[in-house]
Amino acid sequence: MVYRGIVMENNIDHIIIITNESQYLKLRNKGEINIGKEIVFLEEDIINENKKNSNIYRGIAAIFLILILSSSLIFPFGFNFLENVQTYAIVSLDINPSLQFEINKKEIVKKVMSLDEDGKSIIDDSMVGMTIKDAVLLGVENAIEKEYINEQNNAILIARVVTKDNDGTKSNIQEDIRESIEEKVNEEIELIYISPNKDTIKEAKNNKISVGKYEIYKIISEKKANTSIKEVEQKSITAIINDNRELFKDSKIQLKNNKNNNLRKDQKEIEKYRKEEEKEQRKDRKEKGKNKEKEYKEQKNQEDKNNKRENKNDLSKDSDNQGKENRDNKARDNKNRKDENQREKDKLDKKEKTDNNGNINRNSAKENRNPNFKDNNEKKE
Amino acid sequence: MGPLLQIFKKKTSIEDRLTLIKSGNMEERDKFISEYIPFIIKSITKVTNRYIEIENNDEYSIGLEAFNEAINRYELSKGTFIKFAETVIRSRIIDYQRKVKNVNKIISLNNGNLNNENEGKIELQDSLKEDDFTKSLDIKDQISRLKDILKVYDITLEELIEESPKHVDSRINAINIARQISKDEELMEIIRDKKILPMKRITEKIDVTKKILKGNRKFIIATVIILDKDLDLLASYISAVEGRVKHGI
Repeated sequence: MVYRGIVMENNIDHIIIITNESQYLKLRNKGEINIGKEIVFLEEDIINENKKNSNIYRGIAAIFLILILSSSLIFPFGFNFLENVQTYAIVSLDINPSLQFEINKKEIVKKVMSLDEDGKSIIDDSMVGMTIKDAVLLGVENAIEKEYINEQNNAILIARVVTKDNDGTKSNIQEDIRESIEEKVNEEIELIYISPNKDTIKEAKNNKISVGKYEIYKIISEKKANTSIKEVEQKSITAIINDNRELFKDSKIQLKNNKNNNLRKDQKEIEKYRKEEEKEQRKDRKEKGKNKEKEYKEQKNQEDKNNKRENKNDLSKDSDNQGKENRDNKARDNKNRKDENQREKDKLDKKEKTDNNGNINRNSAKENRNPNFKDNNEKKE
Repeated sequence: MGPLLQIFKKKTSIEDRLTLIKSGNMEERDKFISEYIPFIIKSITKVTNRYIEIENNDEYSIGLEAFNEAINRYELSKGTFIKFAETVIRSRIIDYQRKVKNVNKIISLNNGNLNNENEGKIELQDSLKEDDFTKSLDIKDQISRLKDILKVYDITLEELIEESPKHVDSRINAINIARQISKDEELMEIIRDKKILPMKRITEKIDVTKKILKGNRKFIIATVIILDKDLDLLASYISAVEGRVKHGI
């Protein structure tokens, strides 16, 4: 088809014309042309921007299709690709703070969110990409550090909901988490595990509480009609469990004490000792820091404004020195701690001559514990 | 690609049609040529590398003549007709360009000598073209006026390209609405004062839905301006489409 149009505007890369059918069109620019000239042109000269875009989209879609197809060709179970991306289950961790994890089929955390203000303080960016049991453990450890978990407040609730109906695989997430907490956490912790059905996800979302807490609310409200969601939301898990201990015994919730009582007392003593030590260390560090700051300020005041650059250099050197000192202190402290641990351990071993599995676990837990402490100290700095 | 594909589809019958034309069927020849006009235009622009201006259509008529010549000279032994026709058109256009170039050269040399005789010649040539010249000035002036007014209404040509009705029928419908609006003084006053399309008022007076007004708002405003502001050359140009469709062309 041959079109006719009058040139209305000429730009470097295109011209705008109005056709004799009253259509405004953009054409490719060919050589010189003046405004007001009537020209003959063909369909191929028209620049159709929408068409261009759709071609790009088609291209992108094609690339994705190729990726999916090729991945399904290379790996015999091509759908793994999708399953890694999709949310397979939701796991909530309630202490009060509450965290909620979205995990894929391989139990890798895809998304973490906190459901209250306190929750933000125990979230860690590194949780995404971890396995769910490591992420839960990290959350529990952070909560211990922030003293959300202490002697009075020591129950945690873990809930796991599968987002789809056809749940062929059985998860041993519950066992994994129990084991890792038993191994690595020395506090006395009451672990409660529930697995609500998938309808709970929506209902919990509407009420802005975790799936675990919503399930708890459902269980309690069956027996005690006057319970409100808010009450459950604000109370800590420990308080809820203590109030309704009888209720949860008959329900599907399992209570597990992860430590032998005799051992627990000794460990508590060690823990207390450690904490005191730690606090002292922190105080020392703070005081040191304050002194240093004062020194800097004095230095600053003394020196002329013109020498600002030199000043900066000095500061950075000083802070380096400080860092070294701190590291030295820490190393010393860690040594002390290890020695003490060893002594305590020997005592305990004498007490219990019969070796059992729990004991082995505990030893390994201790060994693992120390590096963790180091990490935490470094993070604080 | 459209016209090219069409050519390929009809390729089988080209030879048959050519033999029919060569046997003296003038009707078939005209039909054949008019079918291949897009091809002729494409072949010309391939050589000149710019759009063919209707007002200065020497190139176009040379292309047509060359195509006609190609029909006469074509023999089956010369390969496909399309390729043959293209080379004929190209060589004719190149010949023409050479000729024009030479003429220009001579004039420019004479201009350099400032010869009185030659100046007279140039004046004569210009006066012959005067009618065309003033007309092209008029349309240029009207286009720049239209663009200035569109700026006041905050409409760019780009927006008109994107938001104009794509189908001929809906365009004619929109032009028709614009015409009715431009005849209504009350509506025009609102448009001139407030620089907007008073949709509610228009739906009360003219049989049109709000949806159509909303979808084609910018196109209708632009058309109203063309019809309202004495942009007669543009107005006759765009309203030609209504007549053509009415007459089934």
